[in-house]
Amino acid sequence: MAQTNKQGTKTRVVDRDAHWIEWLTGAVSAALVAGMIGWIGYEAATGSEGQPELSTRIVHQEKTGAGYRVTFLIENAGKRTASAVVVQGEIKDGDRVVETSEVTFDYVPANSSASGALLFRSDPEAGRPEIRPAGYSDP
Amino acid sequence: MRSKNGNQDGRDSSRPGNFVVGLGRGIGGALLFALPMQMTMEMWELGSTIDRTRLFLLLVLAIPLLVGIAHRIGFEKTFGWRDDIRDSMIAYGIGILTSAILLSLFSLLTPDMPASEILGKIALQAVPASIGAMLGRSQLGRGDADDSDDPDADGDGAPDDRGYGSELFLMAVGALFLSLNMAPTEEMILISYKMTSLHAVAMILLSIGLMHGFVYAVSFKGGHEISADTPGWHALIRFTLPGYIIALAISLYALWTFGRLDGTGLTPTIMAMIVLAFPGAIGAAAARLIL
Repeated sequence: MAQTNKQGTKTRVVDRDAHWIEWLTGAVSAALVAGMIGWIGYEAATGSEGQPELSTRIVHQEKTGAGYRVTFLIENAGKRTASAVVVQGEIKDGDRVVETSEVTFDYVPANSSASGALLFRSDPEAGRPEIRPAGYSDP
Repeated sequence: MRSKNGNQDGRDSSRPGNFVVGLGRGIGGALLFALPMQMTMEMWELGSTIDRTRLFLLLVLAIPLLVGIAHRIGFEKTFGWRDDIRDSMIAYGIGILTSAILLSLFSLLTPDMPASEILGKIALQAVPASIGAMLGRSQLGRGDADDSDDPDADGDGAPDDRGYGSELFLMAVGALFLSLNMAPTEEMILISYKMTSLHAVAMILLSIGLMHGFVYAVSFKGGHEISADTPGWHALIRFTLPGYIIALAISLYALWTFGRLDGTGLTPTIMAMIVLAFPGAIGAAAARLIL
């Protein structure tokens, strides 16, 4: 695979005959690249230009030192990434809003999820915590 | 510096002076290669936020990587694994030391920080810095390396150390180098979110084209040639495409290590991988020429 030319510098030459393992590696690589392009092509064909479809789900509520923590998961089922996603949480007592809290996610990628937590002073068990995505911007 | 116990080609590296020169080259290399990361905000934050299992894995994987680099591109091939291991440990040490000094200089390490944060910041930076130190010691010293450094010229009749595996390994080193530099930044995922499928396909084709062109079409120093009776696509299949797959894999590993893929679905993951593999591919191609 290597030879020294007149100047003494090494030049590596690709010869026609090669070990089968080189061809095997090459074939597998070519298949992977083709597969990847194929997948992206499929995604493009089935319409990648959707909108983000955001939804939230409360995972856990617990008492912390200073108040209450509500851990939640935000999912983006759409085919487009949302950035600067604002998630708002409200604790209501009947129709009256007792407390609101807010958190911002840098990104929620397409078909992905991210987790976070909102902190409240009042006990969310007493009221009903309502957590919803309030808005986002396009990346 | 590579051997204290004898050197056939007349470069007397057993003197302590040469050891110091070697250390100096190592530090130079560490600075040259790692400064962009040392001065990147995301890397400082990652020092405390990175998943400790992933950091541990990175630190452990760095050892065989450094030994591999020492073995493949050290000054000579004649010396055994013991020297390679010693060299790589010195490089790792230089990496840790330069990272600690620079981060302190930038006032990023203060005594009131918890020990885990200080250690995390240094450890994370030490990996690219140690790769830089290792490359610096072998590459910056090239000027005084005469022909007898050439593994082919040492008369042992052994074939060139650049087998197929070595060629792929060097591509991995080059890809890792640029990937590690860029993976921590938010721009990588931001670009991938902005791109459409068409952009992604174009980026794949451009990455492969540039990789191939760098090595075979544009004749840089130490270039590779395709023998007259070999069709051009042979080199594409046997070297460039595996090299690109390596760049993709390293890109994926770097993004995962820095926690950029957590909770991310398949398509955004692939897109981010393609974005980071673009510099990775350039690095891989460059490594084949430079190292």
